[in-house]
Amino acid sequence: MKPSKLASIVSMLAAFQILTPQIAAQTNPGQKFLWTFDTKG
Amino acid sequence: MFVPPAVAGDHLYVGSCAGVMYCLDRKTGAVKWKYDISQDGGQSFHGNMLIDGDWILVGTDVGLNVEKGGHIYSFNLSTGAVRWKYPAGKGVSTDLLQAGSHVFGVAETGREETVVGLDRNTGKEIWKVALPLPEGKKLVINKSPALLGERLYYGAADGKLYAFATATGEKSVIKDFGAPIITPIVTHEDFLYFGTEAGKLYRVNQANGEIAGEFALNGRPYQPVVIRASEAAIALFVNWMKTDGELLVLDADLKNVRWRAAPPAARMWILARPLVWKNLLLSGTDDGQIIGFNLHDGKLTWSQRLEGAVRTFMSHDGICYIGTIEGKIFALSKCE
Repeated sequence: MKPSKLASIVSMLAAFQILTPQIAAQTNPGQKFLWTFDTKG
Repeated sequence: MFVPPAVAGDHLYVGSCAGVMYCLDRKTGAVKWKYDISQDGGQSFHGNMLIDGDWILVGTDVGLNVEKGGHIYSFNLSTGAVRWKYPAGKGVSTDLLQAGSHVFGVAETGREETVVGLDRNTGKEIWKVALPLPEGKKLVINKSPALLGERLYYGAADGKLYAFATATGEKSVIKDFGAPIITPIVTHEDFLYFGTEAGKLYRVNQANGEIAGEFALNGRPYQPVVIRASEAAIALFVNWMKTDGELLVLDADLKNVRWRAAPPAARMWILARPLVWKNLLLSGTDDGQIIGFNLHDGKLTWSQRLEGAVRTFMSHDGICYIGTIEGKIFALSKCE
């Protein structure tokens, strides 16, 4: 597996961990977070 | 982030407050290309981008204590190659507007707000008009002009509403409102809408400059928008980024308040501007909520919560893209 692909998966898993508590609070449970990207600003 | 992403084809274009322009795959978030504007002295993006064929045009700006480094850029959509860049002093935080072969924006240059018209294919300056900033006043971020017919309208810090011929830049004063104009101009039918530092929202007939409506606000106006022409309503923030702020919706004649919405307790509205999405008017809070109100009655109809302070929102092809002050973009599925 390419390092960039691995980094992408790690990033997605990290995002999922961050978002899990918030997803429980959303008013539209059918909607899911597909991906997140950090522009750092 | 301050600017909503733009979409062209399968890609999402993002200008970050960290000074990088990104082209992302809109379905995966993978980076296709990026351009760091700090190499040209720029620092940030505050105005909406303009997609123009194979090109994306955007203004950039710099911080308070820097005098130059802001530009207007034309990037190739596919590669990020810079077709041209126009040096614009402290920069251009306004939306860019297009009419014919010209593109328009407002730059902060020294102690002036400078309205510029460029050739959109070459970046060549066609005309520019400098309006001196009154002593003690500074340019409000993202205070955009508006196009109506063959004139470009701009509300200046000197309190005057100006019109410029789009072809030549010939300037005329529509009226002096006696207080700095601190919001973008928005248009509905033949009327111009904007707010002043004195807490007034105006409706002005563009043909003769007559005041056709005015509304005294409970604070400082921020970012009026037209809620679809068919709705005949104007929305804006009052006391944006304050805990006593509100989202206010008025009839287009400014005679009646349709509804108003305060942020959740102890929170602030911080979305960069009210946004219409489907039958909702959206706002965002500093604690990660994006909230949709029914356009007609202000009933809270939809919300999402995420990590960060919600600054931008854009929806395309069933995916919502939500940006935060901290710089994250969240792509949300089933967002029809």
